[in-house]
Amino acid sequence: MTREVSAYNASLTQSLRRYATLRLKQLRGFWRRFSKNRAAVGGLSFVVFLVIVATLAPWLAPHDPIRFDLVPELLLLPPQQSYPFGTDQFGRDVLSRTIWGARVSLLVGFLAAAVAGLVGITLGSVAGYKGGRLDNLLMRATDIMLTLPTFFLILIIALFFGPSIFNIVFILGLTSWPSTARLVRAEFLSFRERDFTTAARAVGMSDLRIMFLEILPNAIFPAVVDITLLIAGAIITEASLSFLGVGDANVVSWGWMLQESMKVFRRAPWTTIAPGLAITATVIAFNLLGDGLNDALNPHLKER
Amino acid sequence: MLIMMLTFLIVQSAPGDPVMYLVSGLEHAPPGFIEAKRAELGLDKPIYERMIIYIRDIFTGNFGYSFIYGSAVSEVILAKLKNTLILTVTALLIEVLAGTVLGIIAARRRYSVVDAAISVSALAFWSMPFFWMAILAILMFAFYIPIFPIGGMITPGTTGMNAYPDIAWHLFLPATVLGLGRLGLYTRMTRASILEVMHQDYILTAWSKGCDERTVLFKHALRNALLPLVTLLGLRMGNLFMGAVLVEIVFGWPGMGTLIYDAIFTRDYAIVQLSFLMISIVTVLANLGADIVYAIVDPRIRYK
Repeated sequence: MTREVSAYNASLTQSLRRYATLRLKQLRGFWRRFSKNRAAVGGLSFVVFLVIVATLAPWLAPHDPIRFDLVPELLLLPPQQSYPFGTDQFGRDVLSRTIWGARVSLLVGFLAAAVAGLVGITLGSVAGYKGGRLDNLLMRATDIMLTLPTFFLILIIALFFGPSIFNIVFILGLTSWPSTARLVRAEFLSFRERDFTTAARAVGMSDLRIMFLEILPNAIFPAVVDITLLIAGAIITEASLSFLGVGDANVVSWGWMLQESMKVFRRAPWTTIAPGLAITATVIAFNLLGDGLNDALNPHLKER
Repeated sequence: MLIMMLTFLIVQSAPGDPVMYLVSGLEHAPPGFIEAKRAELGLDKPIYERMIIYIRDIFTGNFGYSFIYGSAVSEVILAKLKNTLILTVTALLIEVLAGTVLGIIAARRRYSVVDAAISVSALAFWSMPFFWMAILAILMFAFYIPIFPIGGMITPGTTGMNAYPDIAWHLFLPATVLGLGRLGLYTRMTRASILEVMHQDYILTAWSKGCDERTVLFKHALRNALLPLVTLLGLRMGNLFMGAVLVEIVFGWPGMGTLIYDAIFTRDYAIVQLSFLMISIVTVLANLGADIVYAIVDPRIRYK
């Protein structure tokens, strides 16, 4: 008995090692294709830059982003040496606030997309693998979510359950999974009947292991692309919510800065330019990254 | 129906009480006044009973009573909905027409400077938050170069036949901003779709029959290439309303957006609830409409 188990383990280790080398090869090919795409590399670089800025915010920001004393000489200063992006109507440094705002946007984007990805991948794999009535039911639910005006659903929930940053992340994640679920389901449908799945079933692997160890690694690519685009969407939605006044008032966020600048932007356009540009550039970066990933992961699409 | 129940549950289970808001001005409300007001508004009944009453009322045409506006909610909302629809339909026309035309140009001159310029600007517009684009538009075309009004829907005091050009003049900027923001959806889709169709056999047949490029493109390719656009149109309805609401707020366009914005700050349950309901219904109807149009233009699909 023990000998059988150890033999099984040995063969498992071997196949895992083979699998790892195969993956590494695929990864190298992927990187070769990805790095040729200049727009995508640009997007990735900007995202890396943002992550660094967000992490180092306390050291990079020249002034305190939140504390203010209403000294008339400090209010709505145009850009100058000590305040490169000017100050807002409370006398706070716009540059420092923009730097700190990167934290919230990235946090919301990454976490919300992670939640959405988790839900979407799970539902999509179950629906695609099991098929039948469960599939029907799950896809009906997905269709309903797709037709619902999600932004307003998020708005209402955030409004009434208190717009703390984690509530927003959670709601965003729980409403933006349908696209991922659909993509993963489609992949699972095509992989379900492949030989390697049948083989795994013949060896007696459990459904869960087949789904998540055998099929998912092959079916994950469209989901990765979709999740990257979901990050961009989540950042815009968070900014829009804050702009509507349904944002976390305790954190510095780009949407909130834009909301505050509504009252003064005609006198002090710099209060709106910096956060707006920051959002736009971030969203462009994630969109480019998503497109680049898509092209690099599906090389056959590019040939057209 | 599902949407109704969902809206009701979300809004009602939230903390905060409109009665508290109403009496907040009266520091020393007589004892029993709050309870009496609650009974008057039906808030003392258990939640499931209120839900049944709410849904029954919707079907009998009674949409509830705005605590703040003090008149029947349906009247308030219908007037605003009309204004929002004027804005969204105009934007829809702009984006579909401009989007497909630019998409066709990009596809015809693929990999040229024109193609790149169209793709880049479409991505940039798509990545900008709607409200920021609206702020920039006001700054540029209503403030620095004052050729358009800063906001509103009509110059006060304008009546009769003069009203129409005046409304159109006020409509131009918000509708263009909304349309431009979503342009990318269509240019991208049209371009990709045309390039895909152009590789199919029947297009080759058309070429070999000796048709010139114009005939092939407009008579043969376009018909099939534009099919996916119809579905896209339906699926992105929620996004259109999200954009409309945000753009309205910046421009002070008296539609659902400004209504929701004000209702958020006054915790006007009935207004927020019904706005969400209305937007959901319009979105679902638009989806249904897109499906029907799809069935009409695509002879392969027949609904039984």
